[in-house]
Amino acid sequence: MATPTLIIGIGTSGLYTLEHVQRFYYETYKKNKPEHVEYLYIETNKDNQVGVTPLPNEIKRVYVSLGEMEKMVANLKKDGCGDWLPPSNQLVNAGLGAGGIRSCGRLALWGCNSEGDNFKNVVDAINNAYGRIASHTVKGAEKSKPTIFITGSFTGGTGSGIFIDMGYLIRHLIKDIKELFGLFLLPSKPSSIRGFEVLYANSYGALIDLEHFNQVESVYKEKWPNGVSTDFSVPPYELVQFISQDYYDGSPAMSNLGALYKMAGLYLFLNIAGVKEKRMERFVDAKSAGHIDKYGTFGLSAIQFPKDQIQEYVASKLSIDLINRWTDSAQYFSNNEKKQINKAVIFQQINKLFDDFLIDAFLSLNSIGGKDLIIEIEREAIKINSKNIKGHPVDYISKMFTSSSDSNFYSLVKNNIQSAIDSLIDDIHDLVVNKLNETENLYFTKYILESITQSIDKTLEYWKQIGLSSKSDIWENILRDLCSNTQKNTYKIVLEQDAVLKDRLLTAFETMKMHMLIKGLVDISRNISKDDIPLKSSVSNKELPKTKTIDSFITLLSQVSGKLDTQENIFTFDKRIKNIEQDVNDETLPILRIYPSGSFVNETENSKRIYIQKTNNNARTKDEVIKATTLWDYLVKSSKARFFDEIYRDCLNAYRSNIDLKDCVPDFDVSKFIIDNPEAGIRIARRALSPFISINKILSPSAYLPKFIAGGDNGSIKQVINVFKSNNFNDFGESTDRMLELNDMKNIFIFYDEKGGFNLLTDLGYVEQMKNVYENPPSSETKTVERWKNERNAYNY
Amino acid sequence: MENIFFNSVYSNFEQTLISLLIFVALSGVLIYVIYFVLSKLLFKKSKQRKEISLRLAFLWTLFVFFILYNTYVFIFLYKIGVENLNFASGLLYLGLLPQIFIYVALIVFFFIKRHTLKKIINVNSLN
Repeated sequence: MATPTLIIGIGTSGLYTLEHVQRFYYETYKKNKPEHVEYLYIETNKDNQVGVTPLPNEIKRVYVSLGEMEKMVANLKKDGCGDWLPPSNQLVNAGLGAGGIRSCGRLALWGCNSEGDNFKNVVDAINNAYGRIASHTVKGAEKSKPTIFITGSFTGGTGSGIFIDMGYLIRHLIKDIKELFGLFLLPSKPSSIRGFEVLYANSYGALIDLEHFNQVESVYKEKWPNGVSTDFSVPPYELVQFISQDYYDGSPAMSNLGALYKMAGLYLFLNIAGVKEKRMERFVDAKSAGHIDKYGTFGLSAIQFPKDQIQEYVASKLSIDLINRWTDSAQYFSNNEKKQINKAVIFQQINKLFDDFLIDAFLSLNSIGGKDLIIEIEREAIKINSKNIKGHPVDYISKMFTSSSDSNFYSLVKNNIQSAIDSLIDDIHDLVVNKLNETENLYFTKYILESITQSIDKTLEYWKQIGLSSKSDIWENILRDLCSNTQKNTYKIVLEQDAVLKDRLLTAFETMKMHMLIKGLVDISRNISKDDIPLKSSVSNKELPKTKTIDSFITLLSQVSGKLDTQENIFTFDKRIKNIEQDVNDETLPILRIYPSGSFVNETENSKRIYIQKTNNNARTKDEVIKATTLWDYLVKSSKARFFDEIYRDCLNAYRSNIDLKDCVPDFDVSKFIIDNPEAGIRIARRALSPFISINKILSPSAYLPKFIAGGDNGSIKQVINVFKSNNFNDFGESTDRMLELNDMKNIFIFYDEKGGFNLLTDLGYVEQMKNVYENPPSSETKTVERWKNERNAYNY
Repeated sequence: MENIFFNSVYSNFEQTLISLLIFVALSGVLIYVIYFVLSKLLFKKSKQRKEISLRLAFLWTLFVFFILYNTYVFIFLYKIGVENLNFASGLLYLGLLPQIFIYVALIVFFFIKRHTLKKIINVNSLN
């Protein structure tokens, strides 16, 4: 049964590591995490957000605020906790996050300000996360105890400040804890420490604290902000693993910090994927034999066919093609044929359509409350001609349509004018939605909207020319003329007087509608082109589309695709493509990428070609991504949420799943590659034999410490071991103890070697330099030794 | 009656005036009858305003009447014989004054009515 596991990232490094865990898990299992695992991330830097992943992010963020530090310090001191706190004037204005000051990081965990009670928030987050994983373990079996991993960096203020507290807090909150492990990142062997003094001094301070609490006689005695008094006499962690960018001999293992986060993420991912059980099999033996104690490290390398990266790369390319189709300013697709966007033709077509919209709007005013006004007018015409009225016919007709009465045709239509506006909004909305769905081109749709405003302006101009206005007094003048005209040439001689009068009354009626609709049309035209709140149809609730909305869609989509620049923390397809390229081409990462066609470029091109062949469609279409909704509704819905995330995820997920379904990137047998290329296999396997930390001590091999090759099945692992053996490489041995079958890892072979039996305070290759910089502030700093040390220390003992 | 319709000889002014009035009255009656019929038959399904349909029907009425009138003129000339007409004589024109008047008036009337209709249909008019 799977062990419930909680992985807690502390600080920015913790977040980056967790993001890699999540990504590795997704790459292997097509989901961000298993049900028995939870990711939690504690951060003091408000600006740091969890990056976008193809699936909804599973990393829960707990922001611990460092605002109002003086108040936080005063509160803690008042409550009798926080003996460790330095003077508050040394804590304020620490900069971004904890600002590299360890006590600031610790204060972030303990403090409480107007933004919230940090300690309570962290406690709640841990309890909730534990509650979720615990509920997944009781499935007809005895409840298994949880394993907790805490990861972060010792170089900054947050991780190095709270890692001890976090260990004990976990022990306090999760009583039935099985194991508590730490994985912390250390700075690499310095060529020059100048400019990086804080990083090394913080790390040294954290190592001293850890060493202290690892001592048998040490007691962690604190009064926490929640009132709990603690008295722990056990070490905070069972085992703390340390890694840096170095190899054992100090040579660079990874070229950049990103690679270090990636390897830390890979290690944690392997632990939740099944490696932890293998590691723990003989851990007790290793411990009792003295091969490992409180500190450990490991070497890790892999040979991988990066199927997931290829899929994601091709999916990103296809997503860009789709977005480019949506945002192409020159061409659009109609019936799978590329056509030029011709504004003049669009205007011509829309002008005709707009006349129909106006007719619809006018017709909607003919019937009010079940009463047909046309029939009413016919009746009135007959009444007038048969002299069945009081007063002069002209006066009578005038009263029917005058604006000064509240019980005539004028008032009836005026009260119902919104239905005409609703009709226009509905028609324009439907036109835009249908045309966008048909052409999948936002520029085409924008020109349609512009044509609508032009048609409205043209109509209003024409109405103005014939003397119409929205003003009542002008309407009264027009009405006077219309009324007197009704009594001229009545055509009684050919017995058509009723038809003619009815017609003239209807003309007055229609003219009256035009007069009343002028304001509505002006509003619609203005609303389409201006930045107001969109008009809404009161019946259907449809919103009047706006050119600005389309412009913003074009801009946002161009940003998602990478055509336009975005903020650094926003994921775009272009950035992702570059990331993948950088990742697969990173030679310093101890992961060898292999391809059946020889190169990543060939592989992605082949996959894209296969996809296009299998879809029988050169043009990408929204139907590949959006199901059961129109493109307009989809974009509107996305714009109300996190637009970038929605579009990025939906496109990527849809294309990834399509690529997967159509088997555009077939699996590749990594063991076969190693058998065919034993030298390359051995070269990579050897890299795992050196741990990721520079140590001045010979680490003797241990039969108890985990050292194995992991792959998709035992048969292929055996074959690889045999090939290694026949090439005189026996470092991994050939016993089953050195093999780990992980069925879902079809396209990767992992080489792992764990090391222990050292103490970083004495054995780390550059510990003296760290100690020196910890004890003496750099010459560039104006701080006193006391203040410098205060900032590098967070625990009192 | 035949003297009135098929006589080209001028006798006196009084006689000519009577003929002219009879011609005008008969034309009016005939135009009315044709107009009445056409106003009921033409443009039944037209979406034009009724007044425009009726005015168009009137133009067609004038056209139909013009055809009928031309038929009459043909029969008239056939009956009296063109060779018997002395076009150089002013009396001929005085004798034919009613026919000529109706002919010219009809054409002028047609174009006046056509112009009025055009004014009504004019895009910048509300009437």
